[in-house]
Amino acid sequence: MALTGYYKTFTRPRTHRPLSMLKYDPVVRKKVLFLEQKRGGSR
Amino acid sequence: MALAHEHHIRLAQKLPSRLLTFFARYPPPVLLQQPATTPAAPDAFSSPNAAEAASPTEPATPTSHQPTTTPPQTHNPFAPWRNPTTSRWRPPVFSARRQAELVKLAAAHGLESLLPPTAKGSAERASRREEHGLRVKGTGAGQRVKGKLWERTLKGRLEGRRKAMEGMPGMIEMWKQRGHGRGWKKWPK
Repeated sequence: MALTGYYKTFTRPRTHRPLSMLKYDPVVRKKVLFLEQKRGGSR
Repeated sequence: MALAHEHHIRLAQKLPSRLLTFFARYPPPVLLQQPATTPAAPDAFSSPNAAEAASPTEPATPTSHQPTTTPPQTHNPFAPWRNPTTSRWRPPVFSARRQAELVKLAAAHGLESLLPPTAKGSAERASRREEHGLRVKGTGAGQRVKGKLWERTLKGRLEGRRKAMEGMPGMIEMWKQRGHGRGWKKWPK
């Protein structure tokens, strides 16, 4: 959510609530909040 | 007067033989006009085919049937010449490489103004550089470098990142208060 373009990919059960976690972002070199997003790209 | 004349001669003898040969073969019109007003020198080295049209001594369409094979003396040896009879082009006497060498040699001795006009002259080079820039598209006068997409958008992206990082501590605090995402409502689309 720091708008750095860095992302992580996880799998979860379809009925699970959306994922959100504090993870390290190497671009800004800090722990930032990652919120679940739809997969990007041209799909 | 005579002393100055000899001084000039001595100065000229110090020039490289290549320049002396060139000036002997193609005397600068400025120097030709000074000692005696020569009738057969209408103007300086002319552009291609300007001499044929303008000079009274050599009409463009010769009445006699002798074809012209050589350009007139006033023709610029650094420029191509179009034979008015056969309409064929004759290349410059000096190639572009030799023109550049002569210009560099003459400039080193402060004599560049005596050379005929050439694309290798420093003034022409400067004007071309002014017009076209560094051969990189966009560096000329009145142009701007387009740049890659990532370069054009870099400023906005960094600004957005800065704003996001400014609000990050508050966002993390709210996320922790809402059960680490259980009550989170603002999911990105």
